[in-house]
Amino acid sequence: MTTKVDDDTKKAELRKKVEYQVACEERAYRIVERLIDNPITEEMFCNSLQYITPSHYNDILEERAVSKLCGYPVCPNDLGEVMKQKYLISTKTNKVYDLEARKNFCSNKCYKASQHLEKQISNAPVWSRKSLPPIRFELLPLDNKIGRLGNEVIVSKSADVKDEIKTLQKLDQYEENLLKKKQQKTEQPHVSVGEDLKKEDSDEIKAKFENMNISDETGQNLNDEQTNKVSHSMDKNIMNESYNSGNKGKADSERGESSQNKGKKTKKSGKASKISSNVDKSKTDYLMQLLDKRKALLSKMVDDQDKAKISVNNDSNAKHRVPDNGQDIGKIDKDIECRRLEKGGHTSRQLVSDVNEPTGVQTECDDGVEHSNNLICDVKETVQSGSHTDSVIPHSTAGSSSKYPDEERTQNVESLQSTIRNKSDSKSVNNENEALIKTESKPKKEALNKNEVKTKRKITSTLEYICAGVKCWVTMETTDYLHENCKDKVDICIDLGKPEFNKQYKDLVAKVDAQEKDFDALLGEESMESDVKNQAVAPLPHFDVLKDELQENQKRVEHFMKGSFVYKVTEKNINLKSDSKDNSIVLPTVDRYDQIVKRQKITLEIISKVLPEVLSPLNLLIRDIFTELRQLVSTFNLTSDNIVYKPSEWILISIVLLRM
Amino acid sequence: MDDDAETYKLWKIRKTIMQLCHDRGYLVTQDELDQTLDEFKAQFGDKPSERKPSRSDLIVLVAHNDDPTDQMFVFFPEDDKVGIKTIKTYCQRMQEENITRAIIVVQVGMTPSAKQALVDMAPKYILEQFLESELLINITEHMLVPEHVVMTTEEKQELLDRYKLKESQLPRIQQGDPVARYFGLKRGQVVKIIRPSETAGRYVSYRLCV
Repeated sequence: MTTKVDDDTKKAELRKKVEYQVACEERAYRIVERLIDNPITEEMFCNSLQYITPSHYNDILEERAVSKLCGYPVCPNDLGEVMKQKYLISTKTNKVYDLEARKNFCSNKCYKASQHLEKQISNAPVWSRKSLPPIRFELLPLDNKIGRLGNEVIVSKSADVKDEIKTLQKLDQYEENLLKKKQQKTEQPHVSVGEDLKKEDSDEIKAKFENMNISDETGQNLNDEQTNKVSHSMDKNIMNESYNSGNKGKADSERGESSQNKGKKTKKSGKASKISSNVDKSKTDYLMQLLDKRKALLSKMVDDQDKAKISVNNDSNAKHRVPDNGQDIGKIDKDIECRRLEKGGHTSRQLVSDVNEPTGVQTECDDGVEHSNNLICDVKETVQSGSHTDSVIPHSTAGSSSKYPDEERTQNVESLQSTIRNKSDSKSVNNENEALIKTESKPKKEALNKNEVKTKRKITSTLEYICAGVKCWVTMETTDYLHENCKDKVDICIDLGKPEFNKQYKDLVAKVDAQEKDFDALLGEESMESDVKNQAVAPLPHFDVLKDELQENQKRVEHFMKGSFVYKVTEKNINLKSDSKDNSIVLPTVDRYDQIVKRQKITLEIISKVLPEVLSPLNLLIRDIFTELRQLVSTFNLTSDNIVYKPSEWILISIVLLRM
Repeated sequence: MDDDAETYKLWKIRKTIMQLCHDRGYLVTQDELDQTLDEFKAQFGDKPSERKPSRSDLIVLVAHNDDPTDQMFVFFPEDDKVGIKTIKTYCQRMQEENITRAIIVVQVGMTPSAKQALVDMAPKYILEQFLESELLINITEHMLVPEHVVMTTEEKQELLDRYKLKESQLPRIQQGDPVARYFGLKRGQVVKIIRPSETAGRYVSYRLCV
């Protein structure tokens, strides 16, 4: 019985519930019907909104639109003209709008207000709202000026693009910050060895690349100095380097020449290398080492030159010294050489941070390593300034060339170009080294060529590629030409009044020969053969001969200078002929359309195209250097396959040639 | 051209409506069933864009064959979309004329609330809605549509008795089925479907509207 009663009550409850639900729906429906007719006060509207769902609201909009009233219930306006198209392409905002929903309203304002309101309407079933607190509806004022045209149909990609740009900018900023930090560190490189280690993370990838590069170098090292047993694996490269620097330090102390500065430097470089060897390779550290080495090299040169007491060179010595001191102490330096050094450091840093130009770093490293290699060899052999002639001469060239138009160049060069410049600087020094060596001994040349071939195999960077290409161009004539120029400059120095230099020079020549032999031995060539070859090769010309040559050369230069005004107008062929007259090395061309001439023409044309770009920041006109350039090119051994380069590569080549 | 197309459309719709009324058992003259386009134009005009004819002119009032008091309206609303208001006006008119059945031929559609209104009035006033596009052709004339015959309550009872069936044991047809809509079947009515058969000549089946 009781259960029956319970069932009845339950049924009644259920019925009540259902009836209530139906009543609620009915009320919502009535509200919809009511809201279709126009005079609606805001208060009434807000009250009635409590009892409907968004779907009801949409019904209201539709019904009102059907009865030609503005869909927004509070709006008393008629609907008026309705747009016929489904979509609207706004040229103002570059967007496409769906007008279907907008068609129910008299204005954009009403549409926006309606949408604003619709969002506030509760989605809960109408009969479940008894317990819920009433919602406070917020009506958008209709005097609001901004409305909505419609829903965007095609969401433009501009947002995505903006996001992308933002992230890229962030990245850029990050890189800039990194660069700044690095530059700051370069300003106080000796203090921040430890700090440099922090950069490792960011430089890891580059370090990898560097590792590869260094492995090349190690290969060379192995060739050059077989005594190096440490470098068997990539990981030990650093060890190798530190070993080298250690050697250098040792040798320095052996020689007892090391000044305080130098001692400091070598110590520091040793420290740096140690640290870097302890930790996984950090490129910055490596570059630091190179920098230090180079500095050490320079200071050593200075010392040697001091010993030789070449007063003219003393000028540059002073220059060398001052910057070294200045750098160490952090004073401001006025010297070009120093600037160059610093720039080298800077640029190497920049390059480190710049992923796009790892090539530059490579060459920097190459050069640096070669330098240090040379140096180490020298030290080991204890031939006193054997290959120093190698470096002395080019450096004196560099020094004296500062009296040449180069001075302005070096001073005016902008940072980027100075980057390239520095690269080419060291490169050209290398080239000159090479040239000297070539003239001195063939085996050496062979060895170098071997090295070149080896490096060529592993060349990945364009710069090295270009370097190799230019090396290919270089012939005996070129080297002669350059050599003469070098001697020119050296002789100019001598002319300034130191007869002792004559002696010194002789000594140097003899030592160079001796050193070359040793070098060859080091290179693993058969010493006998190389000896023979060395003997076969004429020794360096006597000073008197040089003097004569100097005069001749000077005359020639004068001639060129004169000629440059005349030859500008004259045809190229004539020019070439006159060149060949002047420079008996170049064979007179039989045919105007000779292949070599053609190639030279092509090379010159391209270079003269590229040159203005390079020269413009240097305040140089192309005609100032064109004759020299032409002559230089005329000495090149151009073949069909080594004159094909990309435009950017041509720029680099032109810079290299400029330095020559 | 647009007027021509519109006139043609209206003529077709009206023709189908007449056939529909005829099939439902309402009294439609043979003239009205066979009305050609020219006759239609002559009667109503050929410029719908100038409200000649306007939709409201097409309104049809038909009486049932058996019971002349059982009449049916066919409304042609002017608006593209029919809202509650239009439904209400029609309802008023039906109330005035004491008619319980009506068909609304809408051009584009009905608002959800209007549909709701139709359902709400269902027991008392039976309002059916058709789209114009649905009435451009008479679907029952299609070759794939078999012959449907709506059975009276007596016929239905006889059928159930004859086969000793309960109502639920019959096959079914939905109320929303196009043919069911065409005949205006109500829930519980039975339709006799006669199909041609290769083996039996005629195959007859019965379906209960649900």
